Amino acid sequence: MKLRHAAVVLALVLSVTGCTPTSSQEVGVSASQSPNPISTQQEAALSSDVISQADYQAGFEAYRACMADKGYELIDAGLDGILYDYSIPAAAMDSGISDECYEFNWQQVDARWQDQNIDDSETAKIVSACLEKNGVEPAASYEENVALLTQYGIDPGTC
Amino acid sequence: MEVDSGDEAALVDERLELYSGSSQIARRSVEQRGKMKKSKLATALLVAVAALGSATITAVPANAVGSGSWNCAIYNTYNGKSTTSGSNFTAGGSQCGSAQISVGYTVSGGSAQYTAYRTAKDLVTVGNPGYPVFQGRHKMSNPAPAYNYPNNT
Repeated sequence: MKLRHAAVVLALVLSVTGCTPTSSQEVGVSASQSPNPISTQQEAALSSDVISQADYQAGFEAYRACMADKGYELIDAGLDGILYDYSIPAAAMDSGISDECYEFNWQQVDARWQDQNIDDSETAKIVSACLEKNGVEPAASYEENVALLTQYGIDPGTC
Repeated sequence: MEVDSGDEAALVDERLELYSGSSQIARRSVEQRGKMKKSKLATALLVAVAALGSATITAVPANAVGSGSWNCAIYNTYNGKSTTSGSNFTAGGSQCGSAQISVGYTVSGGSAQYTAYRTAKDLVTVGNPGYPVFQGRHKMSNPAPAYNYPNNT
């Protein structure tokens, strides 16, 4: 077998097996960014520059009602500080019903609300603690601290 | 301890190393052309291909939990990692939209549940929910047109 032919065979095998450094990995659930339809209530809330607490809570109630309509109750749902905390029955998550209800009624409002309040989030606390654990003085904001993680080469997986 | 014993991350890395190693094998073969017998070259390639095939099968279990990186729908990549008892994260959100994470766990003697989705622009982390985590769901939110991040166009 000539070397050129061997290289072609190897390239084909790499292609078939997906062995390129940039190939996507099917681990967990991957991104979904198709423009799925959203409720008029969520659309109205998103038309404003800032999400109000009323919009956030109304979106959650719509999500909860959608879940109930499909036969699932959120577990231990309630406000914990500024965020709703709750658990989702695995059957609702695995069937896709939870994501369907979430995306239609609340996801983007929830995401913006969490972003508006990111400095008070669990994420901000974990990142800050992670910096301290690695001997780096945390800054005041989440955004600065994420930049510090990158700057010092700290793997978030070790946080 | 990572879910899936953390082998997945190692295997993903291992896969890239194998790819790199195969390239080196091919390069060395070019340099030694004429010296190495054709049969030896074929054997070396077969070994590399077999190793690659094996690593790929074990490195990409469907919907497994552990760590990985994925392509954004628009461009670039994001990544995430879930652990049984430590913290869990999704990162690279600003490249795609905003990062989200929810982790699945089973309460003692009870049912399997998932945490609420937590979201952040670049990196979102959640701590252990109090029970061993069996799965992490790493996603990107669907950014609203009015809320596209600067490098999301």
